[in-house]
Amino acid sequence: MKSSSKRMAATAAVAIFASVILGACATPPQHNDMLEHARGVVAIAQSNPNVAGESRADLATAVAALNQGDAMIKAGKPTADVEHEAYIAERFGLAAQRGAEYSMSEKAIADAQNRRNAVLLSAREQQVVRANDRAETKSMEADAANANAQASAQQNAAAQQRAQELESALADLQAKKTDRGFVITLGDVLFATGRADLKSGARHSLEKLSAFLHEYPQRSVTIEGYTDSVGTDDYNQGLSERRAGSVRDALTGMGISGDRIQTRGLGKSSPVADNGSETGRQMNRRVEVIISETDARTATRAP
Amino acid sequence: MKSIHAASAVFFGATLILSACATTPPPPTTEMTKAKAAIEQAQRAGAREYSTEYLNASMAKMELAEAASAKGNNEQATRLVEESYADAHLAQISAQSAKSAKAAADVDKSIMTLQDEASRTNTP
Repeated sequence: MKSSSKRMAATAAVAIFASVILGACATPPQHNDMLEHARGVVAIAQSNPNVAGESRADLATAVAALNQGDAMIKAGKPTADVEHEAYIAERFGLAAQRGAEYSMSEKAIADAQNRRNAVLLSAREQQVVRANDRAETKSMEADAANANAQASAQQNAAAQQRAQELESALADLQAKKTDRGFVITLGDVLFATGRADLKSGARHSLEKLSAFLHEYPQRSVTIEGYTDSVGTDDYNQGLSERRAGSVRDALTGMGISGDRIQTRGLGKSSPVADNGSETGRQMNRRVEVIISETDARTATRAP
Repeated sequence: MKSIHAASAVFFGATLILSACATTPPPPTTEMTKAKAAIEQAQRAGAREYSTEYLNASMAKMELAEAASAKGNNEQATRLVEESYADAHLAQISAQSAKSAKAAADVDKSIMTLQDEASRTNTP
C-alpha cells in the first residue's frame, strides 16, 4: 500500500512534468498574420511565369520557409520561431518577384538592337514604298503632260492650218489688212459709169467672196460704197448706197444670209486718191467690202 | 529503491524540458560571414541608392545579431543573421531590378525617338 502510493506519486510527477512541457512550448494559435502575409507574397511569385533561374532558387527557399512555418504552427512552436520563418519566406518571395522583373528588363535591353533594327527596316521599307509611289505619280504626270503636249501641238497645228487657210483665202480675195479688218476693194471697173448694177466681170470676184463667206460662216461683211467728188452730194450719196446694195444683192443671190451683210453709202467722203486726176477719181469710185473679225461687227470708218 | 525510481523519473522529466525548449545552438559564425558578404554585394549592386530600406534593415539586423551573439544568445543571433541575409539578398536583387528597369525605360525612349524620326522623315 505504501509502495503503491509512492508509485502513484511518481506517476503523478511524470504527468505534471509532461503537462509543464506542453504548457511551456505549445502555443495554441493555428494562425499567424506574418505567415499569411508571406504566403500571399510567395503565391504572387509562384504565379509569375517569368520567375526563372536564380529567382526559382529564391522561390524554393521561400516555399521551404513557408512550409517550415506551417509545420511549426502545427507542432505548436513559439510564435517567434514561426515569424522568423515567415520573415524569410516573405523576403525570398519578394526577391523572386524582383528577380523576375530584373530578367524581363534585361531581356528588353538585350532585345533593343533587334527592335532598333526593326524600326529602321520598316522605315526603309516605307521609304521604298514612298519612292515607288512618287515614281509612279511622276510617270503618270509625265504621261499626262505628254498627252497634253501632243493635244496642244495638234491644236496648234490645226489652228495654224486654219490660220494659213484663212490667210490664203484672204490673199485669194486680194483682201488687205487694215485697222478696220480685211478690206476687199471692188474697183470702179466693175460698175458701168454712173450706174449701180454690176458688170458681169464682177461676178467672178463676188463668187470668190461668197465662197469665202460660206467657208467662214462666223464672219460678216460691211459693204461701203464710195464715189469721186464729181456731181452733187445727194447724187453721190445715192449712187454709193445703190452700188453697195448691188453687191449685197449679188451676195444674197449667192446664198449668203442678209443678216451677215451691212451696207452703207459714204458718197465722196474718204477718198483714197486725188480727185484732181482721172486716175485718182477712178480709184475713189469704189466699193469696199470689210470682212469682220470672227463674229464681230465690222468697225465703221469714221466719217 | 522505490525512491530511486521516483528520482529517476523526475530527472527524466527535467531532461525532456531541457531538450524541448532550451536548445543551445553554436554561435552563427558562418552565417554571419555569409550575411556580411551579401550586404557588401547589395551595396555594390547599388542598394544604397535603389533599395535603401532593405539594405538598412539588413544592417540593423546585423548589428542586433552581433549584440545578441556577444551576450551568448546564439539562438536569437542566428535568427537575426538569417533575416539580415534575407534582407541583403532582397536589397541586392531589388537594386539590380530597379537599375535594369531604368535602363530598359531609356532604351524604350530611344527606340521611340528613333521611330518618331523615322516617321518624320517618311512624311512628305
